[in-house]
Amino acid sequence: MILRDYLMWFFGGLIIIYMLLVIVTYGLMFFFALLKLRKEHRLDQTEMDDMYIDAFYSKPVSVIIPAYNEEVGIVDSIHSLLSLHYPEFEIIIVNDGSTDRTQEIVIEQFQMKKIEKVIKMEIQASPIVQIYQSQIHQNCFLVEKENGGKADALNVGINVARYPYFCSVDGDSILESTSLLRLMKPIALSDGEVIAAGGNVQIANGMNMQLGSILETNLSKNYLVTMQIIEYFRAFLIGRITLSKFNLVLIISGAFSVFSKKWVVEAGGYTKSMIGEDMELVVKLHRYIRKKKENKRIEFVENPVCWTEAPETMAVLRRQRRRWHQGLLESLWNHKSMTFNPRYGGIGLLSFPYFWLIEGLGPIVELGGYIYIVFAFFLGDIYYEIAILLLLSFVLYGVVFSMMAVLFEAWSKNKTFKVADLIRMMLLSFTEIFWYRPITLFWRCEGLLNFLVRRREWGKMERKGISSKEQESI
Amino acid sequence: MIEFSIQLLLYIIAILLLFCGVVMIYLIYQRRYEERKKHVMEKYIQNTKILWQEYFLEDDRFTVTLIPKNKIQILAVEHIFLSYLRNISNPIIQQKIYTFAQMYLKEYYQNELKSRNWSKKMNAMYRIADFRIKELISTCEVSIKRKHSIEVFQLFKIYSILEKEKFIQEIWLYNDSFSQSEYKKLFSYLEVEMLQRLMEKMERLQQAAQYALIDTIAAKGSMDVIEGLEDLLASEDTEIRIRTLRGLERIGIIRDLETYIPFVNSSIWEERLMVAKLFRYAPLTYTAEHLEKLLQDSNWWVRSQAASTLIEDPRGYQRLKEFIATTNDQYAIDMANEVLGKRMRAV
Repeated sequence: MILRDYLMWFFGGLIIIYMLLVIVTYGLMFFFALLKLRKEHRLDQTEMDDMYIDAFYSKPVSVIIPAYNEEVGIVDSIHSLLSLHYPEFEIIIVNDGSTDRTQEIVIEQFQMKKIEKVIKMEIQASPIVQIYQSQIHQNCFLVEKENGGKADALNVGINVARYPYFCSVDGDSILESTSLLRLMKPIALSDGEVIAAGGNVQIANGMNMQLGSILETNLSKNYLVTMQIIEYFRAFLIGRITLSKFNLVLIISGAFSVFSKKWVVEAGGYTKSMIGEDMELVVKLHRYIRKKKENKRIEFVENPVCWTEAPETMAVLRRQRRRWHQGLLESLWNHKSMTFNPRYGGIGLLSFPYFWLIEGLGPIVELGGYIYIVFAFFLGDIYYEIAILLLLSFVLYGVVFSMMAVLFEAWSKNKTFKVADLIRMMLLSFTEIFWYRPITLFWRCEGLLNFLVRRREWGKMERKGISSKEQESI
Repeated sequence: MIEFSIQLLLYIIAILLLFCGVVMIYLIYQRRYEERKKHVMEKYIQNTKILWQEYFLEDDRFTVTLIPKNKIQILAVEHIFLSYLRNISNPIIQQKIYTFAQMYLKEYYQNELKSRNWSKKMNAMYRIADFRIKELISTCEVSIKRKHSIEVFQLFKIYSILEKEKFIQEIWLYNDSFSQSEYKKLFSYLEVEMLQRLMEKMERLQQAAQYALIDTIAAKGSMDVIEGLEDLLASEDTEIRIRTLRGLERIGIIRDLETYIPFVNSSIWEERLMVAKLFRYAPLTYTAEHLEKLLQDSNWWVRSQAASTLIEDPRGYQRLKEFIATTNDQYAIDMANEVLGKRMRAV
């Protein structure tokens, strides 16, 4: 055997073992998620909504929207929050030094007037320039501050928040009217055991929306967006449900999550210097829970939905994925001592290894797999068979799991999905491993490279959604 | 070996793809069925809308046409009943719904309770509580596994609505604990007298139930419970004392100011906060001295509440002005200025 053969056998074996590990992990996660959703499949959810609609049974919440150059989506987003079915809440829009008309639009639309308010600085954050209060909605505030990034804006929002729980919502996200009520359910039912909960984020491109309300759900005609929808189904429905069941959640989306203010303040709030500030906060909370030796949980809740706009062009999606992956690795690296550390229970022994191996370093192995297949086909002989084996494992992982996630979502939304959309997504799932998967793997590897060279592409909060798209087109 | 693995993977993929195909066909069929069902339900509601209105609003307008003949019609009737119950508070209509459900829906829910499907069973229990079908309580008791807390909670909810005495007996014996929100919900269906009975032997309840009981009894706003609540201020449990102060503040009546003065110097800031809030219900002449002390408290929330309480009194504005002029405590001055600023804007 020459060196080439040794290398080919070694990498071939490594990639196959890795793929096997991924398939088994995803298979198990899918199984647990299926069990949970099957049980509650036909349960009347409105019964629970009615139970907690009274302030007497629920906890008041401060909804914080960090906004930087969100002039396009901010009004719709605030309208969707104003129409929330929730007994007691306030809305705090934190204008993070926007350079567009975000502040003027909010002041004008909601008749904001300057107010004097003494703020207790519980978390270190940039100084507040001015606070405004809406004259038409007394529970709606606008906080003006200098630009300091999303994490800093959220920290300011937490300082201003009056209530024991706060909900972070992205400036271009739309909530369904029952979303907050359902997201708060595990918190209300646990007597403080659940200290944070994240909702289900889904893609809004193609939807017909007006004044923050969804009038019609349509599937986007853009293939890139549809692929992201399938990807979200897989990530949220399969991954997070199971991780949540065993209190192993490390990521709850910053686009829509609720936290106990007390715990976040004690954990030090959002970290300014990190890219993935939402994941970083969750990891910090887990760390703090263990330090205090308390029995607390962080949960993912699958039925409250937050709609958000997804990138529609390759360039924006590339930047987003690069940033997400860099953020993930930064957080994992920042808390590397938790990996395989029995002091942190399941988080150290299962979550961290899972996120390092499958989410963090996975793109290198997978992309290596694609390169291996190309080489192996040229080399022929036994490598040809290894390549087929690898390709089949990609099909199993990429195509079959995607299709199952689509079916799973359609089944859980039995009364609302459109048959044509289902067929379109199923057909598109077949194509994932040939274009979408390799491209996103490449972008994630770029994120990994950026992490290694400590490259910073931006110094301020990056915007997503419609407004981002508009910016791109300029 | 590799050939075998390829074959195995091919089989697995083929089986899974076949499975996906079958599930897809099933889902498409189900979707069509749901659409048809929805259409039939809407048609039924449209056709019987007037008859239901007449039945609810007029006497002796019952007609056999209203009796549901199949599952879809039962679901439509359920929909109509829930719309009325959730949107209209009329005892006559409520009673007609309960009577009708007792007569014509009971059998359906009885069968649903026997279902192996957990969601179906739960939905039936929800409706039994909504439509007050007392006769099915024993079937509920038999059908639940007593493991799942949601099921047990729903059974207790049915007791608290339909079998109050049984509820009291069972709640003493219940060893597990619900959340405070759940206890509050259960207690909210009971009358003040029953809650007082529970309060007399409060120590037998789970801790979460004790807290929820104080909250619920205070929320009922009855004058009769003040004395009982004041007795709880001597409890050794800090949380009970805080809850009681909050409850008394909610009722909004101070019988004897002296009962509350010790809390001004409490080492627990939540107690100082609650007492600062409670002082809204006593004349400023008696509380000003204590409120000024609380205005200089080490805790931000206590200072904030003391300032708010002071400004609520007609003479509070002047007292705050005088206080700012005489104190050296910058935190207290800032807080006083904020509430003064608020007052100015309100004026």
